[in-house]
Amino acid sequence: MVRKRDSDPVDEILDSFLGEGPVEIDGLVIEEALARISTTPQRGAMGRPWSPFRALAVAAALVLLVTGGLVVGQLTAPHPVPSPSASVLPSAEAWPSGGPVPGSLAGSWAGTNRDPGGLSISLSLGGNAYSLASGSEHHGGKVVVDGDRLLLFDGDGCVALPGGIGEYRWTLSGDGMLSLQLIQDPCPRVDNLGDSTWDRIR
Amino acid sequence: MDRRLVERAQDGDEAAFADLAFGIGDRLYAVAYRTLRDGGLAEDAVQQALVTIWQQLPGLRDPDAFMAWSYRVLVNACYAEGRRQRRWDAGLRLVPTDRTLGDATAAVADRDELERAFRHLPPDQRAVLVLQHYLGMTMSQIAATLGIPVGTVRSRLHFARDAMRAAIDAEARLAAGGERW
Repeated sequence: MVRKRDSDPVDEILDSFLGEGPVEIDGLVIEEALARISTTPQRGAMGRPWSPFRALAVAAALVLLVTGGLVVGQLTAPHPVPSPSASVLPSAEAWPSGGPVPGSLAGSWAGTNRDPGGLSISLSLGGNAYSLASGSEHHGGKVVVDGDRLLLFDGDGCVALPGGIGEYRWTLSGDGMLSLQLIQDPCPRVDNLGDSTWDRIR
Repeated sequence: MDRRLVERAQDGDEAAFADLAFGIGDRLYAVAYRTLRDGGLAEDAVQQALVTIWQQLPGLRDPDAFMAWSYRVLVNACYAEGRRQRRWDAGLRLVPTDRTLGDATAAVADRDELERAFRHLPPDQRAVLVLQHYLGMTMSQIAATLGIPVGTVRSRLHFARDAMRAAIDAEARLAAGGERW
């Protein structure tokens, strides 16, 4: 596991220091985790590889939806009803339940704590989009709000798990400060959002 | 890691996931322990990571990336565990060292100083040190694993190594002063 890179004594000391310690976990710990997963449903496969059969099924559903809407529209409306664009139809599979960001949350927020690298950080929320900016880094994705839960997904900073959903409980204090309490998030944005507080910028 | 096993687990096969969990458990624990410096916290982090891995596994695009992705989920679980427990900076209650003791005791003192310095690092800096020095990852591998830019990895390593170097240098100065006495 431990490798040598160069002759810097700090590296050699760190190799040795971090090489020490246990390397085996108690099997009971795994057993307990497995007991938990037996009652924990898996989330939908939002990031699954493209499949022709799945794509055909989605296309067929869209055709039915659009043509069905047109027929109903022609039967009930005095004027033709424009058919919805497929590009703006959210996939029920891809979107967690919830609605767009409410007015009380919409806007730009400044983190009261700096990011782990010491940079100031800002969070923007609006509609079904969020963005995080820290220094020259900028990440964004989609968001829905379900009651007191803020659900972030399709984040462009979540490379290995593009569909990973981050769940946070949000509250607004009397003085307008936004607090985000981490429920779970497998994506790196958790570094900035987990158990954080924010002041409104605008 | 067996790709077919990952794919079966992605389809909800709990037996396949159990095989995966036992296959990666030791590696996850070793990394969690070295990051959190506490066996109990490391076990909790591994448990939470395994549950999250199970929940989010269907969304993993490339089954061959399973191990790297699992490390990422684990590191995030370590961050969360550290935040919950608020024990990142608790440090060990160490007995003051007697510099007149022999080499073996001095070596223990050096290690305690390293331990103290490491515990004072923020969690993101601990994680990159562990990935580099324990798992032997390159900066680009760390960046890909954690989903952060290489420049961020470089800066985190830079700050972490500077802090550890300062602790090592301070220890060396103390040791040199002790010899004069």
